[in-house]
Amino acid sequence: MYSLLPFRFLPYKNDLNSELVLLVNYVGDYKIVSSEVFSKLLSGTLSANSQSFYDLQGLNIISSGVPEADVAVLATRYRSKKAYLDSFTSLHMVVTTLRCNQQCRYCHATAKKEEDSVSTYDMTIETARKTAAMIMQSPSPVIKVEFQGGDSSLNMPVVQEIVKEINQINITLQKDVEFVICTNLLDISTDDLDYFRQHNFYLSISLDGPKSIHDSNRVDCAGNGTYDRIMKNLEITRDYIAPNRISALMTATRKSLGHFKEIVDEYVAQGFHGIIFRSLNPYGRCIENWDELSYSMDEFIASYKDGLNYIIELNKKGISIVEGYAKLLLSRMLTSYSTGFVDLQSPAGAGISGVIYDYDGMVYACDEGRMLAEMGDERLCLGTIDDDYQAIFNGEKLHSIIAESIVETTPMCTDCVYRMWCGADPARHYATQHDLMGHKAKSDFCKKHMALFDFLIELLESNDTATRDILFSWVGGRL
Amino acid sequence: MGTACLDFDSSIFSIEALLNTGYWCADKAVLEIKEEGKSYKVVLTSKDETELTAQFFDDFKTMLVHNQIRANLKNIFADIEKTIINRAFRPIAQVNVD
Repeated sequence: MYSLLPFRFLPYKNDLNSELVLLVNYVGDYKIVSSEVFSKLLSGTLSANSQSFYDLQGLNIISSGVPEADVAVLATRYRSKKAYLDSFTSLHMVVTTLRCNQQCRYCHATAKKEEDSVSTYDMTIETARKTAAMIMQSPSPVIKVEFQGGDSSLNMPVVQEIVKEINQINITLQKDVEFVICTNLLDISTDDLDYFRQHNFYLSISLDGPKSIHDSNRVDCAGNGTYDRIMKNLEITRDYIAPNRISALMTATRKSLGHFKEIVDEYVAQGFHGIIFRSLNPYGRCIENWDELSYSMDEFIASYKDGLNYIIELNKKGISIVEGYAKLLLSRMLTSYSTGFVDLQSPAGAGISGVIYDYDGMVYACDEGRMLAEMGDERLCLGTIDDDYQAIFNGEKLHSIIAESIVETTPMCTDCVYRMWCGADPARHYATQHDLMGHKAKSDFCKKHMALFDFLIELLESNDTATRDILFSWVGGRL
Repeated sequence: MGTACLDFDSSIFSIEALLNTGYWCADKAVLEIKEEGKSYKVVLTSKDETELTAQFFDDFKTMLVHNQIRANLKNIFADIEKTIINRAFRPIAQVNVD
């Protein structure tokens, strides 16, 4: 005799005719069983001497004794999984300017040109000081300040003022503070680099792939490609900033699809050990160029699989490169670690894990919130830098956003087998469906994540031990 | 526009399972339900001009069975899930380590 403990199930690979069933327990451990075992499990006839019984007992899917001990274990592990909620907002993004020296065709921030009005599009010193003060009111002992834009380096006085103010406040608070600057490196100066080095900055740059792909979308204000100049500046940057403090991000457009191998090769050639295959964000200038840039989610998923397979093959040859999103998902699938990721957690990270302070003093629950505001929709605006901290972070606006971003209570998500690994993206659903919760049957966000989980399980369950070893090794190094 | 009518025994399938299945196929069809006696009359109407295929109906019925299992499990798990959540988020006593 046994009793069932909470789990979710789905026919393997979401194939309704599959003879296999994927089971995931309440805290995200999974097992694939035959449909015969599944039927016996449900009917209470699973043999207590079978390997399946032992496996499912070990996974806290069945309890052969008093369930209290299993409940204690599950509760502790559930708390661990949600530990990212403990400290509240740790990621604080600051838009120092909306001006940029590039006019990328998919720019979701709808960056203004560099020569546009400084007084209109740059954060002022006064706003910067208020922003710094609000950041340090967060109860989180760990604070990551990420400077964004436009190109953030075009307003270095504000960057420096915020760093100075935060460091001053931190003399007494003694938080663990980290600074990151997102910059295209196009016009970066050695003075800037020296400043970043002195203050232990991390740099996040953009590299869409080899020159032909990168230059097709990442152009300067005159419409010229930027690859050559950025590569030259990257070389200079590495004289100032340690390699492990420089990361690159790519954005996949239609030109990228089918070329993820070349993009990975470019990252390897440029000395990067990590890449994230990012799909397009449907905001800003990207919408204006949507017909030319976009693709279906099925097309992206196909390219993602090719790209990930290629990365695994490179790893087998001793070339160290990790696909960052796979690493995040695998950490959730294979470990008890808390892996907060603002755009994929439940409740959503909007406001409670990450927040963005715009150049004009407006405060948004997430980066996409300010992009929506730029497009005329203030739904995700929490207030201004002149508002009280509690009004912003404990106000009705944020409460209403979070209430609709809890997958444990969302239709389809609540019963989903991937629930513990997945999360909510209210901004994405609001932008595409005009609904924070979103209808998941119509959601590309949902489609993408279900496909990625299926694919990762397929890789983990394959007979290729080298592939499994590589994927497990990624999880060992914490994101 | 494709439309089909199906009957389901209300002693086997719950309204919850039917609604969840309707939600699942919402990108393909609109579902309407009416209770008549001991059965649910379900009308499925294609969202575009195409007819609903035999494969769609097979998938619908399979998904309905799965959703009924889920609904049954939800009843079994409700109390224990609540206990897990309450226990997970109860305050933990501070322990001072010298």
